[in-house]
Amino acid sequence: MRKELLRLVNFHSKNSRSESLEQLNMILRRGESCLLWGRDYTGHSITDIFRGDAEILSGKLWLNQEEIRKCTQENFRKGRVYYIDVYSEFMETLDLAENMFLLKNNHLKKIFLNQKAIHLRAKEILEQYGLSLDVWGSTKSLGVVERVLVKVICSVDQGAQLLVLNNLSSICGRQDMEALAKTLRQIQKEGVGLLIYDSHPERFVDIAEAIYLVDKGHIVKKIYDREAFSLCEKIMEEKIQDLSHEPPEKEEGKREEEAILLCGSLGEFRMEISIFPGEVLYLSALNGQEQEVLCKILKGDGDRKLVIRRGNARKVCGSSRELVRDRVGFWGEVDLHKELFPNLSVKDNILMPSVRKISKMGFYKSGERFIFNDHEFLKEFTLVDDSSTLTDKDVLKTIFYRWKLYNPRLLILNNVLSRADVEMKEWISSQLLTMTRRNTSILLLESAADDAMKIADRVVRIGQGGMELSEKGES
Amino acid sequence: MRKIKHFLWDYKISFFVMCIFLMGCMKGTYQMNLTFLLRQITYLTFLTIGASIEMMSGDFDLAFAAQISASTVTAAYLITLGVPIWAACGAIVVLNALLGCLKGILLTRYRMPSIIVTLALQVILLNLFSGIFPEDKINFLKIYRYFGSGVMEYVFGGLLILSVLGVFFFLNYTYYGKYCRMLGENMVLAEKSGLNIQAVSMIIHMASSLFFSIPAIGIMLYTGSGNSYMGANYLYKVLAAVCLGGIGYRNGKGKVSGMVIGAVTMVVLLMMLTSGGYLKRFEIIIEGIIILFFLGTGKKVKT
Repeated sequence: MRKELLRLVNFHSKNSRSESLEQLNMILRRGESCLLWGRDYTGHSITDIFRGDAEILSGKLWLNQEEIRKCTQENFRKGRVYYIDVYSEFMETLDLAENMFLLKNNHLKKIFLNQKAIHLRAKEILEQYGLSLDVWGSTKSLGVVERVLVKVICSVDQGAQLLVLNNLSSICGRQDMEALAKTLRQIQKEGVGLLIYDSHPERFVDIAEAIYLVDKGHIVKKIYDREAFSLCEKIMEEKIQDLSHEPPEKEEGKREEEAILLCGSLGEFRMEISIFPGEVLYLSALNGQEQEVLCKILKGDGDRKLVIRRGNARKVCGSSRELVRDRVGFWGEVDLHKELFPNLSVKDNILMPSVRKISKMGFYKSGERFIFNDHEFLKEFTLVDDSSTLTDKDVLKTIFYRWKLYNPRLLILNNVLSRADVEMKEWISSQLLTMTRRNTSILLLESAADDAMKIADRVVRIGQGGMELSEKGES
Repeated sequence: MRKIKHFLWDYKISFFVMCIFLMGCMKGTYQMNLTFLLRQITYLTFLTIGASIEMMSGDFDLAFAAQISASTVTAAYLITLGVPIWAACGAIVVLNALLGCLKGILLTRYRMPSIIVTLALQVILLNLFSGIFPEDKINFLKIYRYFGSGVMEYVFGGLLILSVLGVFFFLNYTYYGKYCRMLGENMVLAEKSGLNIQAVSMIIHMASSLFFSIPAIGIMLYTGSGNSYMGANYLYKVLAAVCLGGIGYRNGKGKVSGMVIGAVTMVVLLMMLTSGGYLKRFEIIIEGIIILFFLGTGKKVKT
């Protein structure tokens, strides 16, 4: 019988985004792997406990038979519970091996650093998990997925008993997902427990030993029978309706004329794609690294600035500011919360890029009430005053309405659908289609192909050194 | 070969200035007093090393000059009371170490911006002994027989070489050297990773205070006095030397070679200005331009 590691008894908590968990009763044993499956915020709120973003309102949390009164990463680290999400930071002044050995709780008595020993040990550890990275190299060159894998491996090396993984598949293409799953299985065999929340839980079913169905701040059902795992989708009524739409009919010649041509390059990677007004185009990358390269090119951070051609007009954009000026929106920073201005109200957050369109002299407040009194514009969203207490759902809605109001010619989304929970995926997908009716083109850069394929009119697959066109539906 | 090219390119301005100085010396334009040059290079390099270590750990220190002055006044006062010179020198080291600790605590525990903290400390220390002593100065028996003959200059020079080697080892082969860079680059991440940033910051600031203590002792013994404004002359020179040396502010970057080259370049530049008959205010203007220029270009390169 495995020893008890973590116990939550009538646990009631609230995180900084006012998302609350109620009457949570959960026991995790050592080496046990549990998957949180839900449509809404509940899953990631549970993982937020281990991120140190939860205030205990009532109930108890026991870790290794010791009560935890304050949810801080430090307390969980002492109990050898590590939280990992897609925002993996490293120090750029240190190389990879130094990052692995210095970004942890070392005793202050350690003075002399044996460079050779730590680099050898780092190489050994990485090779044990099938990663061949340059341990003397800078961490700047690591891709997002590699950073996450290194963090996972470092946590295991520090003696982790439980890893809490939050939405890691949102940055993983198919290849990356295989590498991640392989690493997690290896870690499982070593006796490390896993608590996984993901917006694509079906990808982790093979790894999980138990599935907890979660909804509206509660654990609804606990499933331990592997044969019942396949029923989880049905139980949660998760199936997303196949959203389809017809792009607006236009004369062939006219469509070509109005098409937006995007050209850019980074290293050996060259991109040249065209997108038509009102079209949803999905750029399918093989792995997370390719997707990152595409993202950099589209933001204008490539070797050369992004060139946007439309008919006879040609614009060169090297920054987000220049993109917005050319009516191209970019949505999908690594940390979505950073796209929000915390010192501004929700209304100002929505109005920000559109201020100059509302009033060139800056008197946009007078136009504000007309905008926010329009119920057609602001469906299913209650405006609050304080933007710092918004839930994840409200943050996504705020940023969406910002772009809806701005009405860009082209909106580029980077891993927005992949990161959102199931409820929000459906909502964002349907809202994006309403934008296409106003001739906004949507360019999707998503690691989760299923989410993008639901609404894409066309799929472009990135080939070696060039572009390969393929029709929607082909794998 | 590539490394040498990079090295020359990184410090191109410094090498350019030194070339002009050497050419001037060969032509006889600049009179070189070796003892004076050695003394100035020694003091400025010690101060630059101390300020650089603090800058690398994220602390833009404006208080070190006032720190030196306050410690020399304290030590000179102790000497006038009959305390042996070696004990007074020890008091300089202890006082600087305590002030370093205080800076470390204020920056990490209370998360105060370093410029504000050190500016406030500078103001406090500069005025601490004001009005107590005539002309804000204490004199004691001058010890010329040790200085001026070159003996102490060579002793301090030797100490400098050991210090430079020590700092190189500290930054590259010790945990604390790496912690120093980590604090400068991302204090929040360092804390999240489990590092005791308060303890580490205190230790780093105490270590850098040692580099402020040595020139403080040298200046006090050479002038035979302690003065509230003794270190003021060095403030902008050192900051300019730190910037010339390519020490990063808030990115943890910096090399020992940069610290030495920056200090030597500043000494040479100031000698050229003094020999050219330029007023002191031109020195200060140039120091300000250097600080602005290198901080500005450093940020641009980073982004």
